[in-house]
Amino acid sequence: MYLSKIINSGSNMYIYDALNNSFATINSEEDFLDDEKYADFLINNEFRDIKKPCKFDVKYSYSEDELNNMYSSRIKNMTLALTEQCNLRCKYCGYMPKYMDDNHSLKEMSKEVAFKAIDILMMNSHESELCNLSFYGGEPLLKLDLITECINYISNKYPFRKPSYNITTNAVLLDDKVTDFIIKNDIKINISLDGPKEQQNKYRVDCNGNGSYEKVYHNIQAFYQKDPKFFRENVTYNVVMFNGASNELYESVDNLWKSNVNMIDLFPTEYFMNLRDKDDDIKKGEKIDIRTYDFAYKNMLKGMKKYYNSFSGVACSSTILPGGFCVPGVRKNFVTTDGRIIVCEKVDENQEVFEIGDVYNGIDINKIRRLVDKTLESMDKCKYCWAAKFCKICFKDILNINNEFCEKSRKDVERELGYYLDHVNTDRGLVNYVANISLI
Amino acid sequence: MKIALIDTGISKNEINNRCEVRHFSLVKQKIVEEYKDPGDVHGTECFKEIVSNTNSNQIQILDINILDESGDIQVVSIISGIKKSIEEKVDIINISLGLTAYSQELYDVCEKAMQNNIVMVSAASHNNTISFPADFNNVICVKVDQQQTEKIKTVDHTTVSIPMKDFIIREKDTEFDFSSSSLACARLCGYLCDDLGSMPLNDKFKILSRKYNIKLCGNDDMNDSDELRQCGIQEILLNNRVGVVLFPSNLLELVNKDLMHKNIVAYYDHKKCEFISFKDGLPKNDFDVIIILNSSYIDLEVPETIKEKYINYQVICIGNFINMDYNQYLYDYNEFKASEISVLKAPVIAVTSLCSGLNKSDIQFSLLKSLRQDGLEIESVSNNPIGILCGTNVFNFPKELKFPDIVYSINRYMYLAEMNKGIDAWLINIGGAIGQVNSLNTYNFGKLADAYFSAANIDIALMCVNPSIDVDNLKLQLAHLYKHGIEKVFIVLSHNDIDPTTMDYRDGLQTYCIDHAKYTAAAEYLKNNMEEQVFTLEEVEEGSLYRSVIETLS
Repeated sequence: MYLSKIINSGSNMYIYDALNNSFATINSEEDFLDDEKYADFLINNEFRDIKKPCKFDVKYSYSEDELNNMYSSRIKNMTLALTEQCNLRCKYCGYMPKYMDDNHSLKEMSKEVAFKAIDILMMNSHESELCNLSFYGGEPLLKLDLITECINYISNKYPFRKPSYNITTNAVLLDDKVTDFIIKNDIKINISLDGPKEQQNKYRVDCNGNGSYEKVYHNIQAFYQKDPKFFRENVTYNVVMFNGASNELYESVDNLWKSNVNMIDLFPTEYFMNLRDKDDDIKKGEKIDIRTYDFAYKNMLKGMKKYYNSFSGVACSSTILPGGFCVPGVRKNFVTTDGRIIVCEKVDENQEVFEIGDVYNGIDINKIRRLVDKTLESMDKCKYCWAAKFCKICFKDILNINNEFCEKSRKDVERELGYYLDHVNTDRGLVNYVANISLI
Repeated sequence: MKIALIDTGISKNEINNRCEVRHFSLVKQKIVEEYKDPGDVHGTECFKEIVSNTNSNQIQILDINILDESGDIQVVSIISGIKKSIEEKVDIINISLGLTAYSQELYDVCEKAMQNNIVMVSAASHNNTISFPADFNNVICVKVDQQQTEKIKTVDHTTVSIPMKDFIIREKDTEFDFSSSSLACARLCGYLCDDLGSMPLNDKFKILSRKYNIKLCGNDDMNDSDELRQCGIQEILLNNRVGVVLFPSNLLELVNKDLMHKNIVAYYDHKKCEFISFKDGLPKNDFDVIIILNSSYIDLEVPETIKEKYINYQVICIGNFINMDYNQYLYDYNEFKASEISVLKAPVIAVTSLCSGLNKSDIQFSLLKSLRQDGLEIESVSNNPIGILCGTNVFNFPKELKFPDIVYSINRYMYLAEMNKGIDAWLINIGGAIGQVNSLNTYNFGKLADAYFSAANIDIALMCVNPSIDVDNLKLQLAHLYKHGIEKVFIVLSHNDIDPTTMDYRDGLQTYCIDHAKYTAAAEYLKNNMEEQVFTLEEVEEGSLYRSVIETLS
């Protein structure tokens, strides 16, 4: 079968045609083995002959002129890596090899680099609906002085504008003085927290191996008590699921007073996999009723939006760009301490292909072309994949597309699509809810 | 009680001796007493609803079937039906249908019915927009409120609501989704037979007033002044020298300097970070007021510290801002109240679109310049704050559109402007868009266009579309314009296309500028596939659209 898949949701069986983006309910796989039955099926369901070879045409949507136009007027974000230094040594952190290497000096961003990055954002975002400056690290609160200088720089140089600000922090330094500053400047805070004490203290430790939970929890609680309304509207959590999903974790996260939670799959660095607690897998297979946990259920329904969009859209085309690629240089721009612009903070900044410019010269269209070409090259096999349209692949994955990645991705799409067809597509209330979800 | 049911006809087979029924139908555009098989079940279902909701056994129903030979309903047929009802001296007229276009003749005949002590009930629009005759001030408009517990609830002086659920009618194997306001109207008609039937000589309107607080009025008692006051921003521009800060910052490129208000003396240069004189391009600070204009529909935030920094200036933020709201300086539709539609004389050119960000203001300004150069007195209207730079009357985009009030307000404003100024033509840039473009703007987006279509007879609509527009969808949207009586539509192709990655944005979808090759291909495709004339932005700039507009108007 070409660009199609039998989806067995457990309760129902469907055949999904990825090329025409349509589906039909079937009784059994055997309907497709018997030529006569198959012919009847095609006629009765007006279905494409999925035994006939076909493929997607994988193409990038934007031309260089269009991208250049966006770079001059629609840049939405700069994320500044203010320092590589951190006050924790989380064992799964991508910087751990640097922290362990005594010969590596951890770099810090200069004021000049930060201001130049800000200028790129402010000068080239005049048609953008969003103008966001994010402070990232290492631990950005180690550089509170530079954060203050950046905000003052904007306030003085661009008196009529106020970008939105974000800080991603481990919350160890989130003391009374810092939270006053955050509230005064209306900064959104993204706190990295891995859940209850035992989980947080397992890998989120300081240089001496001491857990961070007590300090972090105390700071978060004090911040909340200072201004619950601000806290509710401006604080989100990043939770790394180093041990997969569990009822205990979901329950603790669900009870938090927060505006949102991002559940982050572990990125298995070599360093971490060598020292990971072997017991971590112990809870695998634990059954979780996701509807019990409000935040998780909402996150799951958010994931349904792409299926809703796909089936409710006016037209489908055989020309696609698989996955969920953002426009490079527009939505996320990660600025390293030395001023290189990387396509986003999630990719490996040491890989040259992800570098798309620098703060001195702005976004480089030649480097964008290099990234796009590499992306298209790495997605060659997506032409034949039934799950390509719904795959979660983005720039961070393009160097790691192997069979394991693709199999996992197809399994995820199969599970999600089955859920959508079984539970969402047939429930008018849920369809309405999903239709009205805004993802960004 | 004698009730006229002006509808699609009552089937003889469904009467079952419930009451006396006389049948009338449309023959050669005249209502004659003659039975004609109904075109559908609508009239029959309304009939059943009336008789099953009255206790009176003394009722006579006049079945006035106004379907014409082709099965359509025309406004003249409704008028003839009402005239026949007046002639037959009925007590109540039930019209469970309606039209979106205003008709003075229809209004007048409703007025005549009222003067003859005839109560008219009519079904509200199913789309929560406007429907005539229901939205006339001399007709009881019947809505549905599924939550209410009362049998009849008075919504306002001319509107009542009835609790009723939608339901499906089956005829043979076909299912009809039968709209509930039609049946709600018939149900009210049944109730009123009991309320009004006991003493036929009573003033029915007094009974309605006492029992339900329904106060139908024929005369417009709200229009106490025919003066058109200036809005706040116009007064400021008249009496002060102004510097402007524009968002998006490239907005200035769109505004023709010839059109610029003479008291706007400087603009803020976002790159140089200072105010620059329009006159000589040099830094300039000798003005009194700073107007910060946000032309996009995304809420912006400006630093709270602005007022301290510019302490010597009056600072006003116009447009969508998170932390500042000075939009009371703009015109507000709610200021203009009326209860009837006035006849407008000047021709109307409307600029509308299928999505935001499709160059509506560019087209408005381009035409405005050409029309003014020809010496015409053009009354320019917009919801985009940028309009204030060049003498356009800017209305605050309403957070909520309440029908029919918004229609009366727009009409009233236009009427007052025509009364107070010499206007050769209207050029109106309608905020929002015609139809739904993604899943996040299913309701209010586009309703303002509907309101304008009902409030004014629009002669020419300039429809701005994005390059990847689906032609079938476009034809459907144009049919919507033609349905409103717009005779001429020109299509203008925007350089901006919908960015599909923003379909799920909380703030609505975004557009991006496409490259020249794609634009040219899209223009060619549209020109080959649409009957209407299609213009590129270059053709607008070069004057082709202007010439076609003038040709149409003359």
